[in-house]
Amino acid sequence: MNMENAQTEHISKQFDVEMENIRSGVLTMGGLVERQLAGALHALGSEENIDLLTVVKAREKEINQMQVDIDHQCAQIIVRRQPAAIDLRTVLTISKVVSDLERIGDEAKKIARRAARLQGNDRLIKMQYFETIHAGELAQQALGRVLNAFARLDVNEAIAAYDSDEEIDIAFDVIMRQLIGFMMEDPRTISSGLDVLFVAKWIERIGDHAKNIAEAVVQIVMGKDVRHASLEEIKAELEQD
Amino acid sequence: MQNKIIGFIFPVIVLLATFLVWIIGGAQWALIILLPCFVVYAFFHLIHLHLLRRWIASPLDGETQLPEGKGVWACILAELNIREQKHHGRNLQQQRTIGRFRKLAEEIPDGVIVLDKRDGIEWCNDKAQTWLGLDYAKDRGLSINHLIRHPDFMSWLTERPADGETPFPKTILLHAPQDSSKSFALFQLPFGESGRILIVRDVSDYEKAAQLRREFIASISHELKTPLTVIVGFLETIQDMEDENSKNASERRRYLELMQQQAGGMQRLVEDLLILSALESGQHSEEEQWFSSAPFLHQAHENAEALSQGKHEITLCEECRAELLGMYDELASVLTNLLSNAIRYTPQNGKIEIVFSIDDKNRGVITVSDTGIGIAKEHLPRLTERFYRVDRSRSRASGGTGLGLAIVKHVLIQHQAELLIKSTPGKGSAFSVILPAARVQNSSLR
Repeated sequence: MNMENAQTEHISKQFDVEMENIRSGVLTMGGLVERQLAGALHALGSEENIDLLTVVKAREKEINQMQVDIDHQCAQIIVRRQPAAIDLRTVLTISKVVSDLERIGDEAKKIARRAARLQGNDRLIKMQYFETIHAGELAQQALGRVLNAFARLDVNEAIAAYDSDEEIDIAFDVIMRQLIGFMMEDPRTISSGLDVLFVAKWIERIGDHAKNIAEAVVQIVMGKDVRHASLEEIKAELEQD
Repeated sequence: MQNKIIGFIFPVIVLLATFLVWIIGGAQWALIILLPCFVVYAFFHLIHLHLLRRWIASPLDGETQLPEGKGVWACILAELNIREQKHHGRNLQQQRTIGRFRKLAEEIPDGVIVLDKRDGIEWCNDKAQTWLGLDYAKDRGLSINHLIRHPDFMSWLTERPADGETPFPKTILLHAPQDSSKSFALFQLPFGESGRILIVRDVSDYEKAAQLRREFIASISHELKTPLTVIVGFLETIQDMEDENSKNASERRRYLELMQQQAGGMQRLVEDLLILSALESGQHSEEEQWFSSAPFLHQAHENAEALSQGKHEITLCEECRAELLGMYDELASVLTNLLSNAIRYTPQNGKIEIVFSIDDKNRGVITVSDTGIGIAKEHLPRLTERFYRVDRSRSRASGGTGLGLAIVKHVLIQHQAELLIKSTPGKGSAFSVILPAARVQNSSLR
């Protein structure tokens, strides 16, 4: 009897350690992605030419490797431990979270690359830059928030990220409308205008990915699939419990 | 004492009575007497046990008094009561001490985070929470690198010192997650068996100062480099011309003139810098003294006329006269700087006006207004920064050092005076120096 007890405790402890390792891995990767995004926004904002691309590329490789590793760990845990309930939900959603993070990293890399190209361009649509950077900062905040929510398993914080995604969408619409105005007025701004448009679009995508992670957090904690549901629906659903 | 006697006498009486009855009536009568006595005795103890149990079940707040008992229970309960009171007093004192330590930790100007051996947050103070975006209520026990995810921080945290080295010697610089203008230095210290303490120190001001110093050095080297490049360029040209004949003499003279101009600019810059550094270090070359406003203003007016060379219409309007207290030369340099700015930024035939008046608060107001190009609103707050220029090329072309208004600001600070700038782009600007009432004595009234 005693022996058995000791053994189950040992197994679950080892299991706990493995789960904790995966969660740590996700958050470490999240930290890298946050840096990547911050670097991209810095490149967008600063006037002097900075050599960011090598750092960004190196980090991108690291992020990709982490995604593969974490996915592998998830598969291992499913096969070895047959997790149930919250553990199973966590493992399953983590592979989704990880792929969202990897995509955010990708978008950030693209922004950094485009920013480096725009730096040499003197026909900048300066005003649009501020708007875009502002949208980028919103996305950065949203990402930090959902990662905190993931670390704390805090549903309310995850839901707060929904609001910032809406803000980012609005900012994107504004940027696009203004860009159209600029490009109609002066066709010479079209090429840099398109660049800015792409950057804005990527930022908007980052907001969407952050929202996906927020949904994953809700799913882990509440066991409810809230994908494609509106904010009101989610809130109503949460109030029922 | 009484309780002891009761506790002692009751069994003795019972035993004596039983013994007597045994001798008189035999064993069965003795048992009959003994039985009810025993029942009473047992009941007496049970009641006390019940009271004691009820007391033990009550909350430990030092409020509920122990029940009083009879006989031997009186002694036991009284003893327990004394111990309990003592214990409670010690507890209170301990709590107070802990509370004081907590408060101490909150009052420390740094953020403090206590980590357990797995880097989980054991405790942190308010400053650490607000600075690093932590929430102790939610984050207790959570791994700190789940919440502060900067890769540098993570590697810094996991980095263990090699044997023989002093543990955790390095510090790391982090920016606040919400506000990138704030920066923090983090130290770690070993704590307990395998825990750690992280100390978070706000170094934003220091970082900002370092940033300003870097910017200042960058701009001053730039300011000195530009004229030097010109001078070196002309020197090379003249050297190349050397072996040819005197045909180039006039050309050479022109180059030398240009070089002299640039060298003059550099000289002015260095002079202004020396003035600024003297002002900043608080070394006064002269004493404060009372002087009359009229000659002071006339002198400035004459200097301005000379500088303008008749290109502008410069008027002096004295609404009143006063005695002023201050450093004459430094205040004169303020006026000269303002006037030379006005001349520099006012096109030919523009108007420049110097007005001296005393306002209703008895403060002296010297206003230099012009009909020049004016300054856009967004530049106004930064105008007195060193080397801040609205239009770089224009300022340098007209011989400005970029330090004039910085000097003005410093002189005025020493005189507790204010500088008021009003400007409309395209229409002109007005710079007003407002001297505090203590430095002004109206002499026109007398």
